[in-house]
Parts: sequence; C-alpha cells; structure tokens
Amino acid sequence: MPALSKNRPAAAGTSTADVAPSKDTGYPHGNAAAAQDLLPGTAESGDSASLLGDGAPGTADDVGGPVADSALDRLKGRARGAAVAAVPASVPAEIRSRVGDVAEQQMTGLWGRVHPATASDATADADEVKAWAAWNDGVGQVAADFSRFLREKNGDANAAFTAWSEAVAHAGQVQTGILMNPDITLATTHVSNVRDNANAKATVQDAARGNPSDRSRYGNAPGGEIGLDPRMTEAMEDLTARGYKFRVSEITGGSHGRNSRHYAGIAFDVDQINGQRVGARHPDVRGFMAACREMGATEVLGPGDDGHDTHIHAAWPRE
Amino acid sequence: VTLFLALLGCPSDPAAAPEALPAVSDGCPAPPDAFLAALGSDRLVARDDLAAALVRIDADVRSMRPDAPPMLCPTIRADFDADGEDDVAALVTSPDGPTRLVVGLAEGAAFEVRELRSFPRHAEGVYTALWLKPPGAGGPLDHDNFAGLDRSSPEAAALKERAGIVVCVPSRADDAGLPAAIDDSLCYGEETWTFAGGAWKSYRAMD
Repeated sequence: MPALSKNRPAAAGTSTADVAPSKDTGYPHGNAAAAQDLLPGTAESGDSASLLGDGAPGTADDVGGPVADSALDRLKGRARGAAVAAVPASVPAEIRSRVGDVAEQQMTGLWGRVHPATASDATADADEVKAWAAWNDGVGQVAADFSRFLREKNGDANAAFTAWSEAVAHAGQVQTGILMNPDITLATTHVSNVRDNANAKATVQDAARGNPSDRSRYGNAPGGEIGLDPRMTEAMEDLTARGYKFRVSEITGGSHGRNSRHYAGIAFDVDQINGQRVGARHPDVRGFMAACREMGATEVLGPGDDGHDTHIHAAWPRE
Repeated sequence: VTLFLALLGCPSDPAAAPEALPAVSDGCPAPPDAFLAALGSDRLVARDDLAAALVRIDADVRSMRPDAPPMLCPTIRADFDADGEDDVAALVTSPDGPTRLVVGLAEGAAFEVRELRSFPRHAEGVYTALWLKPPGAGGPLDHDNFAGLDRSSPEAAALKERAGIVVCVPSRADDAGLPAAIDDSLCYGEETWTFAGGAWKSYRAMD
C-alpha cells in the first residue's frame, strides 16, 4: 500500500514548484475548481475550445470514428506532458518517459469511462472536457506530485517511480472503478445523520486524488485519516463486473465498534443492492456476500447475523 | 504445598505465574479485598490468560484513541446502581473453567456478587475484554448501526445516564458460544450491561 498524505489543492505541504501548470490552459494540475468551471453546462460556449488547444473541436480530423481516437490522443499527450513536467530535471530521462507512459495509461482509463462507445460527434467535445476535468480532479493530482515521492524515497528515482506509479494506479482505479462507476452509488450522509467529510462519497473522492480518507470524529470514531486498501477498492469494482449495482453506505466514516476495520480503511457497508434495500428476503444478498468472500473479505456479515438486518458489512484482513 | 496452592487455584511454579495485568497506575482500579474474598475459587483474569489477538486489539485501539478506556484490566469500578457506593465488575476464571463476567454491588464494606454472563473456555485463551462505559457516554447508542433502542426513549436516556459494563463479543459464535475465529473480529461487537429498576439489562451493538 503506498504511503499517502493529504495533498489537496492549496494545502500546506504542496509547494508551487510541485504543481505543473498546463501550457495550453494555464490551469495548474490539481486545480479541480478551474477544471470544473469548464464542465459542460457550466461554461460559456467557446470555453471548451480554449481548453482543448490544438486539435480542438471543429477541426477536420474530428469527424466520425476518428473523433474518439484523436481526442484521446490529445488527452494522453496532455496527461503525459503534465506528469513529466512534474518530474524534476535531475531524474533520469528513462524514468521521466515511464512517468509519461503511466500518465497516458491512466488517461486512457479515464477516457474509457467518460466517452461512451456510441457517442455521437456532438458529444465528443463535451466528453473531452469532462475527461480532462476528471483528470484534474483526480489522478492528475497524484501525477503532478512526483517530487513528494522523490523526497519520501530520499532521492532514489527508481523507488520514487515505483511508489508514484502505485499511487497513481490506485487513485486511477478508485476514480474510474468506483467514483465514475455508474453501478456504484456512494452515500453522502451517515446513518447517524451526522454531517462531516467522512461520508462514503467524500472518502472515495479523497482516495481518487491520492489522499488518505477522513474518519469521522464522533461517538466511537477516532478521527484522523486512513488510506483505502486496494484489495477493498478493487473488490468494489469487481462486484460491478459480476453484475451487481449497489450503494455503499459507509467506508472509513461513521461510528462503529472501538476496533472496527472501517477505521483501518479495509471495510465497507452496503445497504442497497440492485435497487433494493438489503434485507433478509433480498434475492441477491447471499450471492453478494459470497462474492465478497471470494475476493478476500474475511469478515462478511449481513441479514441473519446479529445487528445486520439492513446492511452488509465486508472487511478484509489487517496486513 | 503444591497441592495446597493448586486447591486454591494458584500455580505451583512461580515462573509459570500469569503475568499481572496493567497495574493501578496504568489505569486499572485495585479490586477491594472484600470483593476478591467473595469470588471463592475463581481468580481475576491475568494477562497470560488472554488470547494474543486481544492484546493486539488493545494496541490498535490505543494507537487510534489514546484516550479510550483501557480494555485489558480485569476489574473496573463505578457506581453502577447509583446508590452512592463504588461497585466492582470483573472478568474471572478458574482452572479449566469458563471466563465469567461478575459484578459486585457494594453494600457497605461487603459486596453482593453475581454473574452476568459467561464465555466458554477456548484453547487460545480468554477472548473477551472488559471496560467501563462512564456515566454520560452513549455506549451502544454511539454505534451508528445500533437499532436495539429508540434513541429518544426514556430507556435510552437512562442507559446513557448510568455507568455501564462493556465486554467484547465476537462477530460470529458457534452453538457452544465459541468465537468463529480468534482474531480482530473478537471485538466486532460490544455488549453493554447497565443496572436500572433493580435489574441488569444488556444491549448488544455490532459493527
């Protein structure tokens, strides 16, 4: 599990030198607000063209099938450029190139989520803006922070690359596999109705930016923050690949037992599956629980277990 | 001498004596002699009696919540029945016997001792722990998923007001009451005991 630390935009500890400005937009990577301003429906017409730079909508190659490919190529190039620009010049060229490769791979994954296979020409521009915004609001924040990994590894460029690429890959998996996954709904409140930044959605948003996620600080909840375990986040995505649509009610937030695995970033609760509330008569509960066990969860409880009439709890072992 | 000590439930080899639990200075209250005398052949649970998983759980909890009540003490003290006298609760055991949760309500210098529940013996040791729910703390009400009580009810208010006794319960137990696994799921749930209206009542909250 990569070592994680908070690195929100403008947060303490993020030097301006670590944030690579985007040459064609002027927006620094990690500036989600700027990117969000350009999401379809929130920007004046023409703004997207200024964001997209060369190869912007309306050019000759943006017609029919090739639209997606060229848009993706532009986005990959932009992601590569931003990531490589964040790598200090002292890092060997080979590693700088590999950083670029990873950035391109992540953008390809994002594009796959954003751009529907059947998109018409009319939506391609909006999809490109959306993908770039998603990059800025998620994995791009990790990608633009190579220097932190270099510091953590005492200047060892190879070790820094390994840790950086793991963190980027995890952030990308969380972003595309959970946050942007239409089959996963993330609760924005707690069962207790306490409001804080540790609800399921906020938890995943943190992880998609490469940050640890907040724990709640009420009742038994200890406060502080913890990274989401990749075993759990990958299982969430895999559950949708098996055909389940579900709502996650808690991950690291909420107040549980004093030694809850939720606080360790290795447990999540589900209160709806395939559009139906979890309960003893739900036809998919047993299959969902069995799937969690197959994917390594060792603490899986649901209807029939004490205190689990209305939710499934799935947790992975502590490492 | 060995036979005499064995009859008393004491180990004959000093080197094999159970390691003492955290001392009073570590936050564990000293049990009154009158309470200990009332235990008969039982003795307080010692650290060497504990399943190793419990010790790890305690360390994990303390790393996150240094202010959490200690959970490896064999005894806790509070005025459970709100009569102005300090009472005692303890985890006790005996050779080859179960672990028992007992409470001693103070009556002057003496204690009326009764068992609240027992935990069958397991080869890997004692698998439950004991700690205090101070007056004013929610206990099970602090668990988001606890649905055993209407939080706005008078019973919930009374539960919160009184001091209570909390023990770990595992996520799953077999028909004999033994935990399905001796790991960090031992404290998956918490059972809180409070005294009200002349009787003890328990509430179970799971993760």
